[in-house]
Amino acid sequence: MPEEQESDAQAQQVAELFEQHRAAVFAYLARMTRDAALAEEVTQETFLKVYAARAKLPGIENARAWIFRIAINTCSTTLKRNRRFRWLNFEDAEGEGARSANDSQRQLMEHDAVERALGALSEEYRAPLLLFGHYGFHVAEIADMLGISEGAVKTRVYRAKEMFIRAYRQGEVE
Amino acid sequence: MIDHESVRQILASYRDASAGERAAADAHSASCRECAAARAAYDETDALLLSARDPALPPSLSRPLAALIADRGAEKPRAAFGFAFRGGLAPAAIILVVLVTLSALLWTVNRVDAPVTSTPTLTSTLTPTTISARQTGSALAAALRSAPLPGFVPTPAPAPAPRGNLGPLFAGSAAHATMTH
Repeated sequence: MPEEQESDAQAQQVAELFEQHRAAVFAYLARMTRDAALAEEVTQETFLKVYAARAKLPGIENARAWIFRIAINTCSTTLKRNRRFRWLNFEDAEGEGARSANDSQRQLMEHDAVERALGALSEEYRAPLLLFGHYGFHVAEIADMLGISEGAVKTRVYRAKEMFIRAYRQGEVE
Repeated sequence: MIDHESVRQILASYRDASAGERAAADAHSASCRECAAARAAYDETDALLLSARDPALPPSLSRPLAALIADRGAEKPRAAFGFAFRGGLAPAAIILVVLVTLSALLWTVNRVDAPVTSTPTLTSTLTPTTISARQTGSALAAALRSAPLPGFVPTPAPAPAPRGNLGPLFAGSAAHATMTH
């Protein structure tokens, strides 16, 4: 296949992957960041990175896991950077709209007992729990995505489930 | 014998456990009430997580990918700095520029108004021990005689023996000075 046609086919493939996985990626990022505007930005960045790396697609066995790994890395970098500069951050005109959307998202999340219980977990435990319990990834895939051992994933999933159910039941009582 | 914690760890990710692990965990939880309760709690967690409703997609992500690429491509020149600046670098850059400007101003003002408080002095640490000078003219001998330096004792130079045609060169030899400490 000529190079140009091949690139077109890969671009088409990325467009299809975007249609299939954008909602899941955005939802994961919204739950991880607890910030809808940031999750939206990171989702966009993720798929732009996927598009830029489309030449790798023929060698990718599990495109969904690959996309999630890119999303997790992008999210991690963004969160670190935001924490580093949070004390300097000024509100701008764009920020106002994003903040109100964010507030409504937060209200939606905090209204739901499951989301509240998830929010009670630190990122270290929330990520493997969501990837395992909500998205159905295997332990080996999660280990690869998070850059930790399979044993560490199992331990975190176990502890996360213990913490989650405690937080959930406590939330129901309240 | 497998302990409770190991059993619960297997039960928490039961789906991915090996056949041997599953058998061990099943056998244990059949006879252990606490681990059976933990198993029920993990199953409940799985059910809750699976039923969790995903948040609605924002409008920017509801469009096709081509529209997103076109949008972000259009703001590419900004993207190189814009992404970082939106994260809070802009205020840092502004503060840095203000600080540098203030420092430069203060330095300039100090440099112009600063009074001269002292003049530099050069101090030699060289201490000559012996100086021996031989001069053909009489100027040095005369100078030393009129204003002798402390410890500087001019002595007349011995008259050189004429040697061949070099004699005229030493004819005017006037002084051989030695200074000792």
